[in-house]
Amino acid sequence: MWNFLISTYHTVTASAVHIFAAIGALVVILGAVDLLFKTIPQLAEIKSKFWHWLADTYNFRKAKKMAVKSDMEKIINHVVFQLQDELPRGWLQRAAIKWVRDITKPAETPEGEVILRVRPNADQNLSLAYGVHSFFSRALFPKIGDLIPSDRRGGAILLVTRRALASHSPSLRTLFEDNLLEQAIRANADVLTSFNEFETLDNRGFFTSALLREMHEVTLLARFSPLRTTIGTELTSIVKHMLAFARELGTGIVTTAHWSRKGPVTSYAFLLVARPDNNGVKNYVVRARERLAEGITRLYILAREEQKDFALQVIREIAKLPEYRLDETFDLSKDYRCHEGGIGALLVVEQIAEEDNHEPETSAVKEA
Amino acid sequence: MFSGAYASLRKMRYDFIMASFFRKLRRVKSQKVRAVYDDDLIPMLEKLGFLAQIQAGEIKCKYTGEQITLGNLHAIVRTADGFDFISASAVARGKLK
Repeated sequence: MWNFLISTYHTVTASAVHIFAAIGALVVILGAVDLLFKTIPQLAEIKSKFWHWLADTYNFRKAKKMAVKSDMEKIINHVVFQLQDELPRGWLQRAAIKWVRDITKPAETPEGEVILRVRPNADQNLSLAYGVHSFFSRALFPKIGDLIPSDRRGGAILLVTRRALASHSPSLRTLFEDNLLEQAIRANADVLTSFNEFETLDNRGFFTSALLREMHEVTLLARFSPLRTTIGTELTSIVKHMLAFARELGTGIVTTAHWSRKGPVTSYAFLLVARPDNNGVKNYVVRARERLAEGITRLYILAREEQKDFALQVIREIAKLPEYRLDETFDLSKDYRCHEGGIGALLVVEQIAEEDNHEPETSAVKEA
Repeated sequence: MFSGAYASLRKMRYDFIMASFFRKLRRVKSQKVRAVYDDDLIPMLEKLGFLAQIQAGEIKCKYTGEQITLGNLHAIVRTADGFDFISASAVARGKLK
């Protein structure tokens, strides 16, 4: 009897261990699958279709809510994932819609948190558009948004919102233009000017690669200095410079002065990588050194998709110069010839102490 | 010489691919966006007495001062002593953080 009890105990324990292990493995697998569905756009599309099918077939209220949630997440995150490849790390995070069932519960509605209203049926597309716009209103320019002039900030948010909605369907783009854009322009006509300027820069890949970075850098550096009151003027000057540069690129002749800009807060230059000639990377390294001599502290290297390999060589050689540090590489939505794709890099000038400057020269120019 | 250049290019491509991979890992982190469906919101507003106030025109938008209606209510923000109501106007939506 005693032996029977002991053997039964061992059998149950062993089974329990197997059961718990199986449950644990299932939880991990389901969690991984759920994460895949949230982070891979194609799977998010499948998830959205599934919930729509369930909602249409069985008219479950919960399925309708899940369908709306998956639609919003799909639209927002499609462009968030693109922008994450174009913008610095940490700027944007994937949206995760959380339904609030009871606004009176502090756990569901913390103080200060915005709770968006989502309407069903006919107004759903408009809710979707408002939701996308609200997301980017809070996600772009975190912490420093109040310092950026409202027309500049508004124009940037509208451009990104349009990208998100237009990528989903033409009808959402029309809805965006008829409602969000129209309302914004009526509230502040300057928003249209900013929107158009940013659109022009976006067509050549400068909006996310250089402009947003410079806007952020200027605001960060100037916010606790006497230059705080001139942030708007400085941003306008940067936009004007980049527009002039983009315009001249279209003509094929760029004034020497427009390759770079030295401002009271930041100074930057562009280095556009084209097809390699007989000199390879040498010419680019020479130009990078020239920018250094001019006192430029931020160098944007931009290249077309076809020149990616050569551009990586250029970036690598310039990064070997002791004064430069490779800050980041990123994707471009469009290159400087308005074609899809491209890569970019930002190199910043490091302040090197004189007594530490004993690095041997390794650049291609010196080796020649 | 060529094998060295090719190896260098392969390494650069590998570095770039790894950088792209780590960028993709950023997708894991998420930002919560709280939303309320109308089917849940309207009964709650009624229960709290706000629905009657909205219908009477007593509630104003926090940012623009315009009258909040069921047609233009865009968002709600909980405050220390109640709720703020935000209209769907461009000005109000632009001020939401």
